[in-house]
Amino acid sequence: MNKCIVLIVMLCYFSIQNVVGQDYFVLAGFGYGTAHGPIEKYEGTSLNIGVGKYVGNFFISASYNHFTGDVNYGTLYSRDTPNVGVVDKYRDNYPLLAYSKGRLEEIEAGIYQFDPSFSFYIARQARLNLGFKVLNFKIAKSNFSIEPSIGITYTNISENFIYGVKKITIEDDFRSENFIEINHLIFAYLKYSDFGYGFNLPLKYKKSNNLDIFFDCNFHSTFRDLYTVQFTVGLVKKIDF
Amino acid sequence: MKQIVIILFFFCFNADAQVEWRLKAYAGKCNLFEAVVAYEVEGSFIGIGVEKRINKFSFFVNFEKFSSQSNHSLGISQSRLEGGEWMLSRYKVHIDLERRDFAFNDIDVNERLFEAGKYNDVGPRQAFNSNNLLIGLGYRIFKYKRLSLWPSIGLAISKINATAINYGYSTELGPGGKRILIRIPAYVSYLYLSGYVNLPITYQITNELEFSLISILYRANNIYLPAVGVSLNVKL
Repeated sequence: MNKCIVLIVMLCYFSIQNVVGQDYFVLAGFGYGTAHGPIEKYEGTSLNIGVGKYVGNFFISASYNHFTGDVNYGTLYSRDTPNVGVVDKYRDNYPLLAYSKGRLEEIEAGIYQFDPSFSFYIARQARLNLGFKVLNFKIAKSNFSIEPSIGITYTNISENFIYGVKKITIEDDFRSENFIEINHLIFAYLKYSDFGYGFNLPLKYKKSNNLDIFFDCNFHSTFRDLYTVQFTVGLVKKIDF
Repeated sequence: MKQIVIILFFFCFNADAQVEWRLKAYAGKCNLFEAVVAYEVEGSFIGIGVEKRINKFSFFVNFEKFSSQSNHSLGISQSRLEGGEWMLSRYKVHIDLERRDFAFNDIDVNERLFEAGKYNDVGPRQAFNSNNLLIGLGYRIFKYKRLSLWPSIGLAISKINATAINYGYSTELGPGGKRILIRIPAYVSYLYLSGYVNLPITYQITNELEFSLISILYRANNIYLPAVGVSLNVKL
């Protein structure tokens, strides 16, 4: 995997170095989308910033995407497969069954699973994309273009679940040896990182020679068990050095 | 006050005013710091914004995301006895376990949960996420060749989500004769208005493009959110 990335980066670098007529650009966008993990589905917003370079009709871009979301209630994952999620750490069912063994960097789990109550999800994603201007067209004197791209990603994800309530017996006071029942929330915290891939399909409206407004539909997935779908609007500003 | 406004208008809107719009894209590292229990959580932030510059003044609207999470607590919070209580007391939010719901000071408090965290350490899992909509004002106080300094102040309305999982009480003896340590999780979600200062040091690369080193500080009650990062400012 690492060799592939190095190869792609080198190819991009050398191809760009040998072509004249280059344009740099800065992009900034706001997105809305969903992230589908093995246990939960999250809905949330994202910010995306990046830089890139046009080489003729081709372009390469490096961007950073930060997505945060809340759990989408009643998802397929938690309702239909109730035994997939948080299981009893203290009865040797650890780690979480839904994730590939050994890939979680950090994990902490409570006892028993309930319907998800409060959760949120943070994903930080670095993207390296290669794209091509495939189509330019005009609608009522306005210029548009479609510039799809594919890319590789590296994503760092942190999932924080807090599940429902369970009655549990605990000490009444610290080391009191006097036990009482309380309602206890169930939680899980997961953190993991993965390489992945993605497709972007932006429609660009040419506001001026150097400024585009884009609407982008993009799909990204890790090679294992996560994918995100996002819709992003933003600005692309070309710069000449 | 009136004089200040008049002077501001004079500087901003006189006939020779140099007006330009800029797009900003920035990101960096942040560190959530809770002053009472010296609780820290590392994280990162990202933001986009537009800025209008009129002479030495700048007016901007930004949207930002700050996210922090940690698998360990730092500072004195690890040994501070009342650490478990900090989330509930500092945010003044109580959790109604029966309804699996949360609210801002308007629901019944589950006293048992509140008590349960009271005498115990802050646990190892904390996460914080904030979406900020920020408006602000900056002024260029220094310029030397391509280098300039634009201190800024602003107000941000923030949607904050936070979880904390604290060490709790031990249970009764289990089947194997062992006790387990129950952790106390808390989740809060609320809107907050907070003050903001920023001290960007800006280097003008070309007429269109600027690079800035930014240092941000948010403050809300006992919570401080310092952050450092880099920003690209492009002339629109």
